[in-house]
Amino acid sequence: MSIISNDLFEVMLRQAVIKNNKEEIALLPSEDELAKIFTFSNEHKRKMKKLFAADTRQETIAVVFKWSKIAIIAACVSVTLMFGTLLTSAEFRNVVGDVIITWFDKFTKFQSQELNGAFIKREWNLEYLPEGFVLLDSYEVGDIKVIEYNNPNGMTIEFSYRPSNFSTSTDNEDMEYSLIVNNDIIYHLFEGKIEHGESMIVWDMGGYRFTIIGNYEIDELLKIAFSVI
Amino acid sequence: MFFMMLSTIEDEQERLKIADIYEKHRHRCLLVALKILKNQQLAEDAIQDAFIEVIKHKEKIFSLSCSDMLPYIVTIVKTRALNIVKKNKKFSDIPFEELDEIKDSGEVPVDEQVINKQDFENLIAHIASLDENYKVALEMKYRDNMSNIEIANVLNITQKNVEMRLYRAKIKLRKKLESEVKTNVYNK
Repeated sequence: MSIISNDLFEVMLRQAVIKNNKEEIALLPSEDELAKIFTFSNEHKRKMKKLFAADTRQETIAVVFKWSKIAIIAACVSVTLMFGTLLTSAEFRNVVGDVIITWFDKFTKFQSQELNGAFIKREWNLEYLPEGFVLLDSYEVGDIKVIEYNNPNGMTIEFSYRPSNFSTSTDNEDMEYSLIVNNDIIYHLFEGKIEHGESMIVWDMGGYRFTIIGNYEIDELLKIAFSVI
Repeated sequence: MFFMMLSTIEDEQERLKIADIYEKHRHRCLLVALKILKNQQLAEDAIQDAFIEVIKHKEKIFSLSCSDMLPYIVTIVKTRALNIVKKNKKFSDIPFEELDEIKDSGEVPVDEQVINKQDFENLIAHIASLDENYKVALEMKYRDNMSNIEIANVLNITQKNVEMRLYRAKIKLRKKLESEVKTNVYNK
């Protein structure tokens, strides 16, 4: 028998914690065994797929827009008019930004220059939500704020924002792209073409980059986007 | 839902590695979460939250060997599951540290008594029977060598609560050991 001091008890405790944990992990059945018993919901699979974006991307750049006066004019030729208006050449001059939009095969990347001195950290809110939608969750991941809403029919809308010097990527597969300009702000619309597919809107405002994603009508998502204050 | 996380995983290799870790261990993660939450949907939420946490601190998991990754992931899944339990509890505003009072037994501390090899095995068994909130704190402290601040960040509690949780866990274990050592001495 031996006498154990406080220090040795700490050492013993450390070893016991590690050993207990190893035994606990060893008792877990194998993945193959558990795969026969448990399955994941389609919703979970979809979310995790998005999280990891496991599909391989083609790194060749298809089209690069440096957000300049000329690019805005060229892009707006194919604008789907909804709530905004097709601006004239004179008005485009006031909408020049420094967002670089890079189109890859399956996703689109938005990048900005470093934030200028005018950036002010703040919270943003929605003034409009479609009927039936309620707050589901709100959390932060670093500088990214995410707020989720859902309705009784299981439809979800996610509103998120981060400083605009964050690089942001969005899926563009099975999406119809268009843009709209409203109050000098350019909204990039990615409308899902498959049934119950998600649509997305991306825009920059006040030093922030915003996104709205939802398996809901693009017109309603745009109304939400316009209501951000 | 998590598309914006793409912007935090810039490197393709890192993204594939984390996805691979998920694929390799997702069912075991589900089992661990289900043991705590008893609900499939909540367990899936816990797994999503866990991997957001893994991505947030991806340098941590990339520093681990393959054999150490599963224990780390399991701990993170447990913390997320316990978080969900806390969120859903009626009295969730009561900090865990206040839920059970540990009274000092007034007995002689165990380090002044006699402990043998069997007691080490008993200690392991006592750890296994601890509440998960204590266990994950101990695992992060002693297995992962995390500081109290790092543990606090993962568990989403204050550093003081971490210190209290570790202290109470040790006191619980000591009390159990004390009573066994006393019994062993009495039975001699």
